Amino acid sequence: MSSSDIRTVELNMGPQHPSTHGVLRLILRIDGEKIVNIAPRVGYLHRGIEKLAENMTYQQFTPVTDRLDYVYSMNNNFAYASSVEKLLGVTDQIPERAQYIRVIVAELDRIANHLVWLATHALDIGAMTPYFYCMRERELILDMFEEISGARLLYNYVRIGGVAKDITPRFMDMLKEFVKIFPKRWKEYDTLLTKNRIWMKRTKEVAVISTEDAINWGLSGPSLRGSNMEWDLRKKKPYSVYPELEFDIPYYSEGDVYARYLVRMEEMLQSNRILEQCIEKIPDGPTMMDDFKKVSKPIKPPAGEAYGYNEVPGGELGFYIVSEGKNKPHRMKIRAPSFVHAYAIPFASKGYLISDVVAVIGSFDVVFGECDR
Amino acid sequence: MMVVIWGVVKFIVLLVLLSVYVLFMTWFDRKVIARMQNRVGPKLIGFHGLWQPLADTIKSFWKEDSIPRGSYRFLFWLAPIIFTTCAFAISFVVPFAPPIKIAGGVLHFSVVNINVAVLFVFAFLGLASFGVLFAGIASGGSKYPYIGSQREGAQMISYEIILALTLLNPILMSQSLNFETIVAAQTHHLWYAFYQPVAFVCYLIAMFAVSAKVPFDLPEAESEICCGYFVEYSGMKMGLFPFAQYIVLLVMSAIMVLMFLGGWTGPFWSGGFIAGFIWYWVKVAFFVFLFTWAWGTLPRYRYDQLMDIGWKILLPISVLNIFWTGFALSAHLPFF
Repeated sequence: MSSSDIRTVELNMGPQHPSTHGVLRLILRIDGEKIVNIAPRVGYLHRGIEKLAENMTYQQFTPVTDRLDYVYSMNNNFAYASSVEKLLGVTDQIPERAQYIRVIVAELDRIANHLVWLATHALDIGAMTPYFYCMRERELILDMFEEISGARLLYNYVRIGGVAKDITPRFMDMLKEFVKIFPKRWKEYDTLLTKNRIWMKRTKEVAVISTEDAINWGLSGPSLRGSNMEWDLRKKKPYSVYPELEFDIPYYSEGDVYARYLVRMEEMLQSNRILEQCIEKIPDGPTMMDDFKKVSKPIKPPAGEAYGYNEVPGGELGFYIVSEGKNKPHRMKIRAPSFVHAYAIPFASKGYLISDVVAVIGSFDVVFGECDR
Repeated sequence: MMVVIWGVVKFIVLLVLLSVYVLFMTWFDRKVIARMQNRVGPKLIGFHGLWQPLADTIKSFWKEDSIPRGSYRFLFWLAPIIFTTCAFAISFVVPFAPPIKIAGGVLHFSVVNINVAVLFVFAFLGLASFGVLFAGIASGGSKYPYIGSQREGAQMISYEIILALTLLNPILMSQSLNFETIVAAQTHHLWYAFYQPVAFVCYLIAMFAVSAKVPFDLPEAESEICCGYFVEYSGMKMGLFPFAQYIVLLVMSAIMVLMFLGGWTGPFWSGGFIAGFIWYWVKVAFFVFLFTWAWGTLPRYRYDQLMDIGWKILLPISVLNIFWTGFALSAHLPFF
């Protein structure tokens, strides 16, 4: 940007801005309120997680994956565990009960993540009350996770070869109760926002992304489904017990912030539907493969490489692991959806107003623990 | 001489009452919004946290009062003073209770009972926007306050036009600019809200915009520009801005009730000081509550949408409405 350009002003947004969701820093070039250019700066939360992986055994790394996107830690554990299992070639030997428990916690976590997303997204656009409604339901989910894993944020629950502990009867009662009340509570957020005129004015036709652009920018998950693309790894590249469960992939053709909002709202109900089926179908049995019961026993995958992917709430989370036959990975690359989405923010919000930037950041649901790694 | 002393006494009483009102109002706001959001709100200090605002004020006074380097110190000081002074000035001409006839004259419950009260309100409301503009500009090149003050300036000026245009209708109908006369005119007819539903709704919207409350709280949108024009302020200088805003909010609600809803008259049990007083404050309290209610329910408009609503929708409607009122009055249509 040339210094002779006196019409525009440079505005620094973040890393301590209330609606950049963590530590995103955007350098905006504005003409009045209009965005001329945006340059994102990421890396304020960089902890070198990929490098850390090279110096840790496979089991030691599981708790570190919690720290990727700390809003959906269960899904991170799940994705990492299934990637290592793929590398080991034991994907089909995981006990079925463990598979179901994994799906239950992953879907609960998806709801919890979408609740946090909805809360912050609405707060960014100025609606304060949905925040507290969402947190009320998230609290129920966190209580459930505390019951089974002992932690409320970083669970370290889904392990390589199964899950850490079996679920308790109390957890099942809480889950049944939650599944019953959640659609009613969902209706409350829906009433507050979906048909709200101001909400629609703020989100409709803002940051429109065409299907082609969405694919080219590497968007995944709900952000891609908002751009008229029916793509969900749980259906298209099925893993775990998802093929046995019935659910729909919500997708909308508009490609704007409102479409992405509708997708995520719909997904919460679909996750609830999956949970209902899991409660009925979950079998009895062991929850951990015998080989992996001792955490101290080293895992030595054969030399080779594997790419494991999961549909996490944010999009496609992938672990690309290269093994040289030792008890530590030779190299691990994490494909983080937030990183990809953070770089689509400038593209999506160019030409709109400052107020729209916060709406766009919210609509991509970026979390910087994962983006910066 | 008596007039001056009497005026000063009224002024001091009003100052104290308004300060107490603002303190209570912050508590009320927080309690109501907490109730809407499944929370408890202030609880620990006093009965249900009733002394919380007092504690906050004491804290504000004792906070370090920092002035950013590179700011225009004079304007930086002046801005909150202008804003607060204007807010108080507006409240001087608004009656806060029905007048009483006592031996030898009438006791008015406003600091001054002038004949051009409505004009006076607009003059000082216009001046108040300077306080906000100065606050943004004086913050020494800090960009968030600058954007905030730009927004507030544009918003106040464009919505004050609508405010003035909508209030013209009751003025035309009552042929007066004095609040007490306008109320008296409504005792003979229905309330003006029934004659002027369009003006009533337009005023309601413009009222929210002028006092910069949700859904028009763009100048201080904390999720976009981090509280806008008073970002660089601290201590009690910062506290003065919301303080003055609460007063503006009360005065706007009071004007709403006086101009459109018959002030201290009620559909039944009217007449007499106590009945009038209760009717008046019930109505005002409803509109004050409406601000809090909207805060708990609605998202925020965008800057261009706000301007669109003002200039493209409300302004033409209110101009046409004035023509209609003028026609109706001159043609002596039924009810007019």
